[in-house]
Amino acid sequence: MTEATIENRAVPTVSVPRLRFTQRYGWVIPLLLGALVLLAMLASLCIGAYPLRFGRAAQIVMRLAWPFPMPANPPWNIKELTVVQIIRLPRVLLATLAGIGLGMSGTALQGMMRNPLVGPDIVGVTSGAAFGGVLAMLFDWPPAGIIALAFLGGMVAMFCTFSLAKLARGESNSMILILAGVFIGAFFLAAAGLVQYIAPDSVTRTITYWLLGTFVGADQQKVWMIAIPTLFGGSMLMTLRWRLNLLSLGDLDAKTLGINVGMLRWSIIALVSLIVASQVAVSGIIGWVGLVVPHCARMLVGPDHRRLLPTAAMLGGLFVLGLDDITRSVVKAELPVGVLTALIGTPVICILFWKTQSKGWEHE
Amino acid sequence: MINTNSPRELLWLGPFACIALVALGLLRPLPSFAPPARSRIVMDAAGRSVQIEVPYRGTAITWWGSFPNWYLQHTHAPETVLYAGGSRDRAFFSNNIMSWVYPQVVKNDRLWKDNAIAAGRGPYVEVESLLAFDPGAYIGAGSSGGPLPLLRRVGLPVVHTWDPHRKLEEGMFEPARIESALVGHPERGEAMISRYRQSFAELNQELKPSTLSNHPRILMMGDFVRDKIHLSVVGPKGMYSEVYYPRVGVANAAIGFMSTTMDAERILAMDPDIVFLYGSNNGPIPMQGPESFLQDPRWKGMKAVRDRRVYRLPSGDAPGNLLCGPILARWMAEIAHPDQLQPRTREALRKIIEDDFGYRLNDDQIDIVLHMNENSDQPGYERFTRNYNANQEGKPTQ
Repeated sequence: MTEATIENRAVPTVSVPRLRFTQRYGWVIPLLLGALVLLAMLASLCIGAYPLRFGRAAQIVMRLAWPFPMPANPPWNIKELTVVQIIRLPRVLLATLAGIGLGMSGTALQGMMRNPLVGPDIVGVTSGAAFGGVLAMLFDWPPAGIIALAFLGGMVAMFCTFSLAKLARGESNSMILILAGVFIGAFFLAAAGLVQYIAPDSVTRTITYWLLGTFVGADQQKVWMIAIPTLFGGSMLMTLRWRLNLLSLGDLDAKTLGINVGMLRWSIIALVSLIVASQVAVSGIIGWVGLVVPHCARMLVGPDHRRLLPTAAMLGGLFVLGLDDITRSVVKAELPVGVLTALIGTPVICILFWKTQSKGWEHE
Repeated sequence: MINTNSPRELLWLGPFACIALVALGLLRPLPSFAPPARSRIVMDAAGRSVQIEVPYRGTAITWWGSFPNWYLQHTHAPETVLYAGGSRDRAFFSNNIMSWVYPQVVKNDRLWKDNAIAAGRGPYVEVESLLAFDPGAYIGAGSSGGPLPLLRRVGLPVVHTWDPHRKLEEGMFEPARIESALVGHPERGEAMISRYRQSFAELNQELKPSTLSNHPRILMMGDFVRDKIHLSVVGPKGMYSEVYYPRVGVANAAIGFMSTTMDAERILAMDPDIVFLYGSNNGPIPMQGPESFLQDPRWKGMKAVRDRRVYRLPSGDAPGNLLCGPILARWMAEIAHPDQLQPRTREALRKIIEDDFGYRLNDDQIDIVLHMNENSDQPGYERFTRNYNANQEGKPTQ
């Protein structure tokens, strides 16, 4: 009910609950975060061994994005252009898109399963995608083959998780779903370990570093491999965020409100698998983002998925981009970003778990 | 309730569209560096002709391990090194003779940076750090990975000095030819190759390996495999087995074993006459020395251990080293066939460095190269001691 409607009421004595800040201005937060992501991307372009000013980086990016030919006598030199166009921009885009994808995937899964402890890592999709990617590496497939097999692996793992939960008559019971995800995830991780064991030494090294999660070696091809599924899948998830709100009420309520629950659930699973598989394929396993970021986003804008999903997307982008900047600048030895997300994500989720232990999903 | 059709609800599209637009910017053609105004052409190991700016601005070495050492041997031009590697490469280099000949290279912090090469993780090099060096050429090994294909695509002078697919000695000669040509002195590379061939010819004349009836079985191994279970050995292929061993008159005990990582049982089954341990305790990964090898209960039954014929290989990253390779061969031959050769390894080493670089190695330095502290107790190693020849002159001939 809007305030205007309230003011037009004839009986002024009726007590009207005030709208919470997040309900009133919640739409501003994703917008601010979006602007912050874009600024952070520009700032990240200035981090690295080759010195580059913020203004110069912004100038180059503007001209790259501007759909007209580059100026004949640009103010930047060719090294600056090379550093931005070939080295830093692909990596910055990769990190941002991975964070956006993981933030949205985690939020969508948590909303769909009505459980705040669910993430792409926990329902097995990450492990399945990792197994697919590792298998493709063993057979020396091209990058497109790696993403295809990673995607297939993610889908198969997700399908197995839901099938197992259904067999256990717990399709709509989130705890049974999580348990099924843990079992399936463990199976696919073991399979990935087996591939690592039988792979030649040179491939094992590549697989190990890739599995730890890293944006080293980002290039134009990888950017497209993650950008198309993430932006497409993310947009589709955004259009479903109203229905996600209804799904959060429970299957029965959602059905009563006219939602085809089965179809919606599988659509979300397919989109999440697409996004996570593309992320795993280009940068390996970057854990905890899909679990931690939705919680932080929920603290900012509340549980309404209309705001929550865009907020989680932008927050995820900021989180992963920031951590990648740290690996590039502070940690000189290029620590895999997946290690950092786990090191930071674990204590954060522990604190959140402790703080909200008395509150269930229904209480939010 | 907020209106579902409110433009506010579509604000998420803004960042998505911006990111998509920036990603589209990557479709633009790659920037291309202009060719130099004055240049000379150098053919690299992959058969590509590379334009090198004149005067030469210097070299960035993008491969790890022995490359800085080889580069200095081939070029005699320490002033042309702009980037030599990471801290591990520096530690490795500081063990080598070239670090005594050119101490300015090992001392210069600007030449060794970890952020350009991810130390210990293979040939990963950060491209933008390399760009900042602004060298006349980037050199590295032929490989589809690493930064060199990218640097070449934007028009920078990239030179593959070594082709891993090229076999044996020809593959070793190429870096000498290419690197000496880079600095404008191709004659230095050719002189080094001639000296290498001449040294082996002299060894052949003195040892006459084809006439030898006894070919001791050699096992060359390193104990650096982390799990201490699977051990690295020199297999039946490669420079040692195919070039050095026949010239030195020895046989490879690992013939018939296809893998180059072995478990202890297979090594015992080889039962070599002599064990040569490669690596160094001063390197990035400490190695097992002869004494601890002899004490290791796993090897007690081995013939080489019973005879105490376990030696640490001289430092000098042979066999790819044109300068020290023939010296290493002589060292092996003197151990395997002490009756056939005069003890001249020390003097040969001193002479080759003095002739090539005008630097005279002192006895302490030669002791370090020959690992006298670790090998001196092994049988026959007294011939490598510093005053051995002088002492022998005083004794009656047997």
